[in-house]
Amino acid sequence: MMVMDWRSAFFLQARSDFRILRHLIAWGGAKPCHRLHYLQMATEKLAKGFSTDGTIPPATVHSAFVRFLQRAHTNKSLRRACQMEDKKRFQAYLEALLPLGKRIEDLAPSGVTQRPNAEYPWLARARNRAYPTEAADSIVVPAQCRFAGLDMGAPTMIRMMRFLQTCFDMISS
Amino acid sequence: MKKDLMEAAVRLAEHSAEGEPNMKEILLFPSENEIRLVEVDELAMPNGGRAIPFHFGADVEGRIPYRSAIALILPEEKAKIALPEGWGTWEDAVRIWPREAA
Repeated sequence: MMVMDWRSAFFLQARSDFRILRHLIAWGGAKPCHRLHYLQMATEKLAKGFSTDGTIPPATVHSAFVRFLQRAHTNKSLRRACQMEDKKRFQAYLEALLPLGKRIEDLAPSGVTQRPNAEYPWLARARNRAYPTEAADSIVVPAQCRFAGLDMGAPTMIRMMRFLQTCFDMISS
Repeated sequence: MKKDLMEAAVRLAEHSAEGEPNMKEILLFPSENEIRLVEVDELAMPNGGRAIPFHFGADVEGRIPYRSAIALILPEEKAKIALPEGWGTWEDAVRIWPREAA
């Protein structure tokens, strides 16, 4: 078995998830939930890889990506990989990604049956602010959900994908 | 260009620009089988010399029945950086958003 540290191991798995995501997007036949599932997994593992020096495993919680986005502006190598000499510009770029990053992070299943996620059916209540068009008290199947606001072709999502691709290019080099 | 491809490109561009105050312009590059867009976006990441497109499969269940490729560029990169391989030249660009007033 190959010996590696925790950081490298999480980066490897994240890169593999991201590669599947790129295939699903280019194929076009996948339901949004499947694309988003791989996006959520890739971002979580990427963030966890950055969170450890490799000697200890990252915390076993789903919430890691938003924290990574909040701290990434201090990573000089990443800023240079993103071709942004200006620190404030890099910080502004990352801050603009935060709302989408939070939505991606929230796609992880939480064990709560009322939270929209990319894997398991959930119970949609009235006044569900994230998905206001859903009927009250209906069970929603991820494969039948459009996941409004998480369109892979939207400019904000492409900005996110460019950032993620740059992260993977950097850690591969 | 096929008429239905052009119409699909316009729908895609309008959808992209919706609610995006930093979107300045969307250019279509002619192709017979793929929608090729360059979106001029103030929040884009610098491309470093050549526009980097993201490729999307045809949305068979939706309103975009063609493959598409979208590259975001900064306003200062327009007509200065290289286009993706096979996209032609900047002179080939057709502005499809915002639409010209009739």
